Amino acid sequence: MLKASDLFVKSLEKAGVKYIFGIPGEENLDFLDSLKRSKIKMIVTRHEQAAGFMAATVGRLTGKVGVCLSTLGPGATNFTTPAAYAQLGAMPMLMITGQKPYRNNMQGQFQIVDVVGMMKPLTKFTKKITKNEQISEILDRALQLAEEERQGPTHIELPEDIAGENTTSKAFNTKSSKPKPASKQAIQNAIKKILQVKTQKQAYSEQVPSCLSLLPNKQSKMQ
Amino acid sequence: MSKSASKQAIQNAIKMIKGAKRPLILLGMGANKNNLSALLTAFLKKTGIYFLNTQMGKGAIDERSPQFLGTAALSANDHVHFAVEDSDLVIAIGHDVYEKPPFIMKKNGAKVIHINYYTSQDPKVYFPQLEVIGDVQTTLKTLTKSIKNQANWDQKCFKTVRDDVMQNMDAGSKENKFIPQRIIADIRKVMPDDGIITLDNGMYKIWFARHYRAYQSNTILLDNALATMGAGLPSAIAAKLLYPKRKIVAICGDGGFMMNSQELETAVRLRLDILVIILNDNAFGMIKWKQKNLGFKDYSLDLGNPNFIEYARSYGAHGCKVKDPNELVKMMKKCMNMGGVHLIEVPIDYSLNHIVSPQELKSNVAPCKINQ
Repeated sequence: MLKASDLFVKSLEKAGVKYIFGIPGEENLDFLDSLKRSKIKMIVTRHEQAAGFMAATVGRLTGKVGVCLSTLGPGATNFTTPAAYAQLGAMPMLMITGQKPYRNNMQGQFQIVDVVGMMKPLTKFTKKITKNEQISEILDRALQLAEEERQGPTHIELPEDIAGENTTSKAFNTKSSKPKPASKQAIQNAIKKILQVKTQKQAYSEQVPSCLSLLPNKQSKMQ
Repeated sequence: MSKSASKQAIQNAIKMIKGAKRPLILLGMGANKNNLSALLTAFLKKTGIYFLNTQMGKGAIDERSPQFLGTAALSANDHVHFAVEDSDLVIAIGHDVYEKPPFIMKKNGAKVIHINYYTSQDPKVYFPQLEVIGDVQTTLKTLTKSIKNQANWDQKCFKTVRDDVMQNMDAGSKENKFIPQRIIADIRKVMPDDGIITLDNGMYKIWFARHYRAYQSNTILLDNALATMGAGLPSAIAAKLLYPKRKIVAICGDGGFMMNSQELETAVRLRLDILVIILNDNAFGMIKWKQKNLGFKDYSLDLGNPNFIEYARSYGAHGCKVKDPNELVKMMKKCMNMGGVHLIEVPIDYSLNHIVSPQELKSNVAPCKINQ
């Protein structure tokens, strides 16, 4: 089974993301672990603002979304200036920030800032993921909106408990034209059917003599 | 994929452009996106129309073009603005009102056709009479196919304005002082055609926008929309990751550099080949200049700085200071050929800032008779 953060990272990979700039916090550790197993390169910076400027510049130069990552609260607030930079400069960028657990947070209000609300005036789209099943859909929307004219920044908040959950969802991305692979079950069923046909055919050939056997063989012809 | 602009809008644009007397092209920040360079150049060559650009539109068309009128680094009264005042139609391609206005539209002034992927308007400064909204590539192809140089166009004044702008652009470029014009000319000399300079924000940005000739799209990355400080070095790092083979130079003021100078460590850790040039005036120079222009007393804008050479070295980067204006070219070449992270400190001389001050700009004399 796939971890939710794996699904997230796989979808980013599918969208062609090559770099993620930022500073991970403990709320991003599952995400970071998924990145480790991906083709995407994590570029750790010394301040989230610089990471945001880098991601925005990738967007500016390629026309495709540049991605940056930070933790909750202090990391996320440091993204505000690059968010404005990408918004006013029309640069496609996706900011991903962590958050305390959505369901069972035992730390009260410690470090919690309304990041989604804070990002509202600075982005084209800002959303908290509250169920792992939403990841593909929300990510797809965030990528699409960032790259659609007028281009600009989008934001997704991924709480740490959701990131670490197992998910049955598949990494899909309407932007990539590659069709999804067929389900394993369907392929297995197909194999079974094909094998059945083969056995029937074998049985048939055993009963009925082939045309070849009815023809005179070479030797007899020569005689 | 963006939809094409409506046929009607494109036809109206063709009619307006053909019927104008003195049309001009303005390239805004969108001109540097969506691979428009070749199409823009074709349109320019076919029609022979002169062009100016915004700070963020620099490089979309090679600024060595004989039709280049200069960059509207300021919003009014600079030499390039005489062309706008003489024009009766500005074809604005990729402009966006989040950019500092390249000129202020007047009700009885030149009409404007806005060509971009999306609308952009401001009731006080930018209210185009015609908008051609949609895929700009398609729009440009149709315009280029349909419009050639018209006999009714009068471009004499533009030629005069261009000569005037070019003369000003090169003035001071050989002086033995650390004035912006000389520093910019030397940096241009060293940078390859596809080399990228990334700017931070500060007084020097106006000078670079006015005097640095960009040859290719996105080869001068500056921010004149949010106009934040601190993005110079980070954007150089991102550009280098994307284009490892191209020469990348971050050009910062001492103020902007210190806002994200910790990223020298990132550049060193990533083993990037990056040169950072610090134009040091030990002050928040642009605000100091504005404070003076507005008649305020000099107060609270001077800075102390670390020893930049030792600072760079402490990160494992190389650092040096230029002591004579004639050394800069040599030093830049040496750093760029050596590879690794380098920092060059240049003590900039801002004593000529009055040239771009609003008071002095107003006294500029139109190089040709305004036709309107």
